[in-house]
Amino acid sequence: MNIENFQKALEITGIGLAGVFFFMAIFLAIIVGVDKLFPYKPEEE
Amino acid sequence: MDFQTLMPAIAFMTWQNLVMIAVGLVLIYLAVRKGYEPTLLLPMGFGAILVNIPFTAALTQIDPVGNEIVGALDVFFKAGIVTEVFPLLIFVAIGAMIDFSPLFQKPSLLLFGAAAQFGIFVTMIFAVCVGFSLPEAASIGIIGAADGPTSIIVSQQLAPNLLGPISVAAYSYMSLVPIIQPPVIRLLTTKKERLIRMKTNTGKKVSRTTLILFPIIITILAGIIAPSSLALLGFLMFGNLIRECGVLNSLSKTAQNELANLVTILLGITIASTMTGERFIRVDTLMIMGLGIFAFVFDTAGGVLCAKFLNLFYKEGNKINPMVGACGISAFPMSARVIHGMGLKEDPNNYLLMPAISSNVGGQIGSVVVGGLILLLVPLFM
Repeated sequence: MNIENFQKALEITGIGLAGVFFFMAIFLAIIVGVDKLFPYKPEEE
Repeated sequence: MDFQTLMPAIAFMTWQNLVMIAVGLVLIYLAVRKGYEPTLLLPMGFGAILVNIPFTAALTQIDPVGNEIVGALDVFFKAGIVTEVFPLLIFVAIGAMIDFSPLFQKPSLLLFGAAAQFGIFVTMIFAVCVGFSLPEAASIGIIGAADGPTSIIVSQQLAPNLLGPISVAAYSYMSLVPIIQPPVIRLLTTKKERLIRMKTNTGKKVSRTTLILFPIIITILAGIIAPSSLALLGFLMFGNLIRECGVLNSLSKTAQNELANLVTILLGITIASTMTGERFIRVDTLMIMGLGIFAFVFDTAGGVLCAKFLNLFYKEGNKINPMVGACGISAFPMSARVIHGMGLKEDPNNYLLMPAISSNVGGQIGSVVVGGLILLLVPLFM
């Protein structure tokens, strides 16, 4: 086993998982924000 | 005239070619008789037969005089896979098929789209431990995204030598979600947890403005933060904008049907051009197939465990059924259907379809995001 690659893989895992949660948290905020700013109005139908 | 000159295809047929022709037949059988992802497994299966007949004109050959005779599948491969055009067009089609409105009913379920990418990274670490290089390991891990086009793009950029087995594993296991996920979920949850009923807000409607703005804002923000994710996410969101804008209905239908069908045919048979015996029959391939299951199992576990963790903070009555966490993978809508079915099996009056769909849509976004992140991060560590 290549220890250097293993350490790099661990680092990518840490940053990658944090990154994907960060992105999803931003998307979550966008969903909540846009939905609040432009709520559904019955006349749209 | 000797036999080799008269019947070169038979004379030069190797056992590897024969095995791959058998693999092709198995893929066709799975597609036709079992209905496992037939749109991709059938073209891939047929393509595997096509490219394993020695001197096939479907692949580039050198004639006896030394001239290169270009094969159609090599042309498709260079035009559609090397340039990533085919998977990106598939993303436009998928974007046009996705309805993001379930996410607006319970946005917090989007987080499972992140948690269920856990297996990708665990598999990457494990693949490094068994001797794969970092780019190869990352490409193998991405099988767990349960997202064929993302797997193709990542492996084409990071480990083009493994594109064939990774694509086959990604599409095969996507079709095996009903077999892979339930035992993992049952292992990690109690009967009581599987019986949790979730509050749904199915009556909630989402404004057209919101649905139009969502793909645009996501694209701009994702582009600013991680431009490398834009090829994947941008095309997905473009397809979705075509769907939601309301003025391109015929384009939306074309993207969902004709475009998706045409590119799928080309994608499947072109991927098969990498499935030649000498390239495919290696210990690496078997390891990739094994690691692919590993990735799916840990993705499912990641989603379920995340739901269990969140339940520690939710009050009784607001708890999440942990099975819904498993839908954070990208296999849409298969994973949601499987979880809905499992919920009904436990309690015939427990309808988990809506939260499962929300989580599953989150998984589609999550898999694309993680693909972009891997493409960004791995070269930085090489």
